[in-house]
Amino acid sequence: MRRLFLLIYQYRAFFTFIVLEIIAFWLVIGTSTFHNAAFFNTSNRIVASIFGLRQGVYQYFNLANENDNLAKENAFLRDLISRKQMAVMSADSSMMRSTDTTIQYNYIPAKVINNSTQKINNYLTIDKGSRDGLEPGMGAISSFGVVGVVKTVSNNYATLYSLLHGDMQVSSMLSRLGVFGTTKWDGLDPLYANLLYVPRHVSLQVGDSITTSGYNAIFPEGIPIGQIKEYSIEENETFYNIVIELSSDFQSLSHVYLIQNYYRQEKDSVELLNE
Amino acid sequence: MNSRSIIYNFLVFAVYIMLQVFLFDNMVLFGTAFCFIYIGFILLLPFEISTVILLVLGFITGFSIDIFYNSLGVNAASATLIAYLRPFWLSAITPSTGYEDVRIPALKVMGFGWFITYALPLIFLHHLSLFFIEAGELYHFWLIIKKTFFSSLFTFAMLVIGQNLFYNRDRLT
Repeated sequence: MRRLFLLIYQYRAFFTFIVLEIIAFWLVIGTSTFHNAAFFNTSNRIVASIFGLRQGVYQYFNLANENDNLAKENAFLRDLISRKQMAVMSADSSMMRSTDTTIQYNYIPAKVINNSTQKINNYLTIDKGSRDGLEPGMGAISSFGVVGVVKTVSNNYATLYSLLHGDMQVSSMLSRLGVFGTTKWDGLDPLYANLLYVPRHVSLQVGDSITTSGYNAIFPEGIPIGQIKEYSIEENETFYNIVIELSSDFQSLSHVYLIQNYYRQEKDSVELLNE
Repeated sequence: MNSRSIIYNFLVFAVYIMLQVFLFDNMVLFGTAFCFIYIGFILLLPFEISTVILLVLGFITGFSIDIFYNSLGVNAASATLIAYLRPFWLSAITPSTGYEDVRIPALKVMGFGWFITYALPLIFLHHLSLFFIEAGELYHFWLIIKKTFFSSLFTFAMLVIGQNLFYNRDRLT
C-alpha cells in the first residue's frame, strides 16, 4: 500500500494530467447529451451580462445597417398586410370562416448579445429568458429567415443552437415544388448550407426558394431558409447534392424573434399517441 | 509564491480571459486563422511553478474560456495538454547557459530564436488538439490542418506583440 502511494506521489503530475483530461472529455461528450446543464454556458447570468456589456458598445457601430434591415422588414410586412386585405375582400364568407382560427404562434423579440459563425458548432446568446416565456426547443428567426433553436434558458438569458451548428437539422420544403428535404450546415462557410434528401425525380432550378416545412412544431410553415445556389447529382445517387444560400445573414445578426407555439404540446402529444 | 504574486497572476489571468472573450472571440482572419491568446497565460507562468499547479491552472483557464465559447471541455482538454507538456519541453530545449537568472520563459529575456522553439510547437499542438476535439471527427481533416497552421501563426504573432507591449523586463527576471 505504501509503495502504491509512493508510486502515485512520484507520478503525481501524470495522474493529475490523466484525471483532468478525463474530466475534460467527459464534459465534451456530456454537453451534447445534458441539455439542461444551463450553468456553465453563455446563458449563465454573469457570463451573459458580460456579453451584454460588450454588445452595448458594439451595437452603435451597427446602427445604420440595423435601420436598413428594419426598414426592409417593415416594407415586407406592409406588403403582406395589403395582400391579406385583398384576399379577405375577394374571399367568400365560407372561406373566411375556415381561415378564422385562433392565434397559434406568438413572436417574442430578443436582442442577440453574442454570436459566432466561424466555429464548427456555433451558438447565439440572447437577452430573453424563462422570465419572458422562453423554453428549450423553441425556434428563432430573424427578419430574413431561420436562425436557430433554443438550447438552454436561465431567468433572463438564453443560449441558442445556431443553424450553423453541426447537430442542427431543419425540416425544409422547396416551396415551388412542394418537395421536402432537410437543411444542414456543413461546417465550412457561414453563407451556405446543404439541402439533403431531395430525390432524383424532381427537376430543380437555381434560385428555387427553400422554406420551413411546418412538419415539426418548432417553426411555422413558410419561414424562408434560403435559395438554391447550385445542385448536382451523381450517376448512381438517389438524392441531389444541393448548396443553398442562406437568407439570414448570420454575421450581422442583431435581433431575433422567438416563436412560441401555443399548440406545440398538443401536436407533440398527438404524435406520441401514434407511436 | 507569496500572496502578492498570486494576486498579480490572478489579474494577468483575468486580462487574458477578457482579451480572448472581448477582442479575439470574433476576430477570425480569412475564416481560417483564429487567435487563442489565452494560452499565453500558461506559456508565460514562472519556471519554478510545480507541475500539478500548472496542470490545474491550465484546466481552469481552458474551462473558463469554454464557458464563454459554449464548448464545455474542449479548451480545457487542450490547455491541460500543453500545461502537461510544458515542463518536458522546457527541459528538452534548455539553453547551454541554463535558466538560472530568469523567472519567466518570456520573449524579452530568452531571445526570439529560443521563444519560437519554445512557444510555436506548443501552440501548434494546442490548436491541433483543440480543432480536432471541437470537430469530433476526421471528416474535415485538411481543413483542420489548414486552420491549425494559420491559427498557430496568428496566435504566435499576437503573443509576440503582446509581450513587446505589456511585459516589462523587471518582472521577468
